[in-house]
Amino acid sequence: MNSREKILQRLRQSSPLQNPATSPFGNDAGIFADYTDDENKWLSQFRAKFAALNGELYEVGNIAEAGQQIQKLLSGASPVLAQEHPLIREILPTVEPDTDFYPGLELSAPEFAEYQAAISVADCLVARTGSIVLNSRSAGGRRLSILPPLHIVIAKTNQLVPSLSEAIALYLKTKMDWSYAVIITGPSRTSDIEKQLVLGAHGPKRLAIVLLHAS
Amino acid sequence: MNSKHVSVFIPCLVDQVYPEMGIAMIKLLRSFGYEIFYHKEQTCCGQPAFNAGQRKEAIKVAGHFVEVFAEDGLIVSPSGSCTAMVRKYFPNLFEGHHACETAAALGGRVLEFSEFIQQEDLLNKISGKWKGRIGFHNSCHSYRELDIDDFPLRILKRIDGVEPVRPPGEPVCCGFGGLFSFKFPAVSATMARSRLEQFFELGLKTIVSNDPGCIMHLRQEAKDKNMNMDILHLVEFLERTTKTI
Amino acid sequence: MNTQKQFKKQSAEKAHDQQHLLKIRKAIRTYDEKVAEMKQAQFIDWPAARKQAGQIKQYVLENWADLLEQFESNMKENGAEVLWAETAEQARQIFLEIADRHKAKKIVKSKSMTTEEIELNETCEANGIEVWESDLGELIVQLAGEKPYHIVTPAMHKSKAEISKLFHEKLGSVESDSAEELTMIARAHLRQAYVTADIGVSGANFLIADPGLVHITENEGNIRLTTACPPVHVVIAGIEKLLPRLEDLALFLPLLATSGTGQQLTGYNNLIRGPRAAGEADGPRKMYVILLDNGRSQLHADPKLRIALRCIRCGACLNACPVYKTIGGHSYQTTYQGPIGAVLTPQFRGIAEWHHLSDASSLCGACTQVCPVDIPLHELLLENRRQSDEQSNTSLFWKQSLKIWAVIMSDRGKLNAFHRAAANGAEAAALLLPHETGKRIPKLARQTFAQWWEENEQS
Repeated sequence: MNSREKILQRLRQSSPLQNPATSPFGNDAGIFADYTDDENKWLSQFRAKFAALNGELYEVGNIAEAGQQIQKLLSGASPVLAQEHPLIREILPTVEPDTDFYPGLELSAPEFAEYQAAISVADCLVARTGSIVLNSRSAGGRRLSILPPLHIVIAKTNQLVPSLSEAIALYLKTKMDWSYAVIITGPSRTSDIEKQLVLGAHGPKRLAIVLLHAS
Repeated sequence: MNSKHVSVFIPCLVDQVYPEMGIAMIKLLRSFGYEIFYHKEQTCCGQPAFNAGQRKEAIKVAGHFVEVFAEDGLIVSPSGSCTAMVRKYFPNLFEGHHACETAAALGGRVLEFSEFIQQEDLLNKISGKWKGRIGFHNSCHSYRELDIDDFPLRILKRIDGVEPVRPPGEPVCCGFGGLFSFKFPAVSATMARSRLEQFFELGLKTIVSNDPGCIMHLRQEAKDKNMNMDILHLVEFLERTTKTI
Repeated sequence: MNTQKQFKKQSAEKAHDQQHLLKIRKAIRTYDEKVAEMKQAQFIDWPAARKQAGQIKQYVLENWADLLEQFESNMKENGAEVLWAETAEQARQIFLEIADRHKAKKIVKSKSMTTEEIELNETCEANGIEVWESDLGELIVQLAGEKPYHIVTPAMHKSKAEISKLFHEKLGSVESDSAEELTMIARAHLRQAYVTADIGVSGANFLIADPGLVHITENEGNIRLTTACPPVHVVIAGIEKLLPRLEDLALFLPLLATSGTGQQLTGYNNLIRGPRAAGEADGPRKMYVILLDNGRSQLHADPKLRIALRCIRCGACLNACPVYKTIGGHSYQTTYQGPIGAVLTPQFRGIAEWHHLSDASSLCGACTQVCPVDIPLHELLLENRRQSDEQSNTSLFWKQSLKIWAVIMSDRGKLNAFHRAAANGAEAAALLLPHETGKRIPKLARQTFAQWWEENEQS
C-alpha cells in the first residue's frame, strides 16, 4: 500500500459517522450585520468600505471621463502596462502614450520592473467588504495586477454584488476557465512591525478603481 | 418568613483555610429565611485530581461527594470553580461509572452562591451601606462554565454607595489554576500580578470575587508584592455591609 | 536538558522579563481592540457564526477520505499534481525530488506553518537550495536565525529598533526608526527573489474539494508574487485544511480574518486551481500539492481529540491565552504554540516528552471562548492530561501526593485527623502541598468550618 492509500484507509476506519450532510454556506443575510440586499445601497456601502481600506475610488459617467481620470492618475506613474481588453482599448486612445499592452510571459522580469502602473478590468465588486474580484483569465494573468506599485481597476456599477456568496455564485463559479482568482481587499499592506500599518508591503501601494456608472 | 431548606457545600479550601467564608454564607442564607443542612462528612469535589488527569483519585473523592449529596435538594456553594466541576465535569468523570446518573443529576442542583440568589429571586432581600468603588473579579469557571455574567454586580449594587467596576476584557484569569500554580509558580504569579495591576491602575483597592481559589492566589500575590489591597469573597463583603445580619 | 525542564526554565525566565511582557501585551492589546470592533461590526451573532463554521469543519472530519479524493481528482483535472506524505520525512523527500526534477537552486517561500512543521528550510539548506522567506515577519525571524514566535505574527516579539539593527547587519541597509522605511527595505530586498527563484513554495489555508482549489490568504502580496512569478509552484498543506465547497469560503474568510487580525477580510484571498491554463498570459507551468498527514490521521482515530483537527490556525487562542501572553511563543519550542499547540504537540510528537505543555494551563477557557470553529480547547488539554496519567507520565511525586490526598479527602475522619496534625498551621500542610514547587502554602485555619459547625451549630 502506498502513502495515499494508507492515509485514506486510516481516515475511513476512524470516520465516526457517514455523511451528516450540511448544505453549502449561503446565509450571508443571516450572519453578517453589514449585509444589505437593497440594491440602491450597494454603491454607497462599497464607497465607504473601499475608502476605509485606503482604496481610491473615482466615479465617471462615460468613456471620455474615464480616460481623463486615468490620465490624472498616471501623472508621474509611467510607463504603464495595460491588460489587452476591449474596454481598456476603448478608453486608452484618449490617454497619453507610453502605455504598453501586457504580452504575457515574454515580458522579462527586468522589463516588467520598469512599469509604474498597471491597468486591468475586474469581475465584480463586493459591497459588504469593499473587495474587487478578478481572475487570471478575465484580468490578464497573475503578474499584471501585483507587480507595479499602482493598480488601476476599471469596473462598472452593474458589477456590484452585495456579499461574498453572490461573488462566488455569480462570478467565480459561473465560468471556471481560470487557473487563478483573487479577492482583493485594499492595497498591499502589512502590520508585522510593531503592529503599525504600512501600505505597499510587496504589492501595489495604491489601488484605484475607475468606476463607470452604467447608463 | 416561612422556612425553606437548603444544603451547603463547603469546598475544601473554605473548610481548611477560609472557614469565615462558609460562616458568612450561612449567616446570609439564614437571613433570607433558609434553614441550613450541613453534611459533616463532606470534603471536596475532586477537582484537583481531575485537573491533574488522575481520574482514579478524582473518582475516589468525587464519588464520596456524590454519596454525601445524592439525596439533597438544592445545594449552595461559595465557589464557582467547584460548582463548575460538579455541573460541567462530573458527567465526563463518571462516564461509564455506576454512579454516573446520580453524579450527572447533581449538576442541576448545585448552585454557586450568586446563582442561588438569582434562581431563588432573593435580590430584593439584600440591602446595606458602604461607600466606594469596588473591583469585581469574576472567576473564569463561573463566567465560562456556569455563564455567570453580571449577576454578582447586581448583587453588589444592592448595597447603597457601592460602585462595582469590572475592568475591560473580562474575565481575566488570576493565574491560580490549582496545581498549575504549583507546577509553574513563576508564570502563575506573573498572571496574578497582571490581574492585580489591572485593578490597581483603575484605582480599585477593594476587590470582590466569587471564588476562594482566585481569592487565595490574589491575596498571596498582593502580599508578596506589598500591594495594599483588600480582596474579599462576595459573601464576606455582604456580611460586612448588609443590614439584615 | 530535556524538553520539560527547558520549558520550565524558559517559561519562568520569560515570566520575569518585564520588557518582554510589555511588548507582547501591547501588541495583543492592539489586536484585541481590532477584533472586538470587527466582531461587533461584521457579525449579527458571532457565537452562531462560529457554531456554523464548526459544523462545516465537523462535516469534513466525518467525510474526510471522500473529500480528499474529490480534492485530488479535481486538482488533477486542472493539471496540478497531488502527492501524499505520511510523515515529515516523506514530505521532505517528495519536495527534494521535485526540486531535483526542476534543477532548483533557489526557492522563494510564503509563510507556511506546515513547512515549519517539516523543517523544510533546514532540509533545503542542507541540500544546497537557497531559501528566501517572503513574508515580512518570516523574513525577520529567518534573518535573526529564530523560529516564528506566533503562528500568525511571526515577529511579534521584535521591536522596530531590533529589526532596524538586524536589517542593517544582514542586508546592509541604513538604520531607520520608521516601520514604513523598514518595510520598503524588505520589499526591495525580495523583489529579486520572486523573479529569480526556481520554485515558489506556499502553504494553504483551505483546500476546497469542490471545485478543487487551494486557498491562501495574506495581506502583503508576497503570496501572489510567490505563486505568480516562479515557473513552479509547490503547495505543502496538512490534510485537515479541507473545506467541502467554494461557497463555504463566504463564511470562513470573514471568520478567519476577524479572528486572525481583526480585519473584515485579509488583503488578498488567493484561489489557485492549477498551473497556468492554456491561453492564459502567465503563471507557473507546473503546480504540485503535497498533502501532509504526519500524525493527523492517527489523531482522527481518537474520538475525544479529533475535534482539534477543525483548527484553521487563526492564532486567536494564542492571543487570548494568559499563559502565552506571559511566557511568549518561543518557550514552547514547538511549531504550533499556545493552547492549540499544547493540544496538538503532545499528540503529534509524543505525550511522554511533551505533556508538560498540557499541564501549563490554568484551564481558564479563554481559548475555547474565542475559537472560531468551536473547539473546546481547554477540555482537550484535560483529555491530554488524562492520557498522560494513563500512560504513567505523572511524576512519582505528584502521583503519590494526590494518592495520599485522595485517601484523606474521601474520608471526613481522616481529613479531621489531618487538620489536627496540622494544628500548628502551615508546617504540616507540607504533607499535602509539596515544597519542590517553590510556591507558598496557605496557612490553614486554626478551626475548620466543620469544627466551627460542630461547636456552634450542633446541639
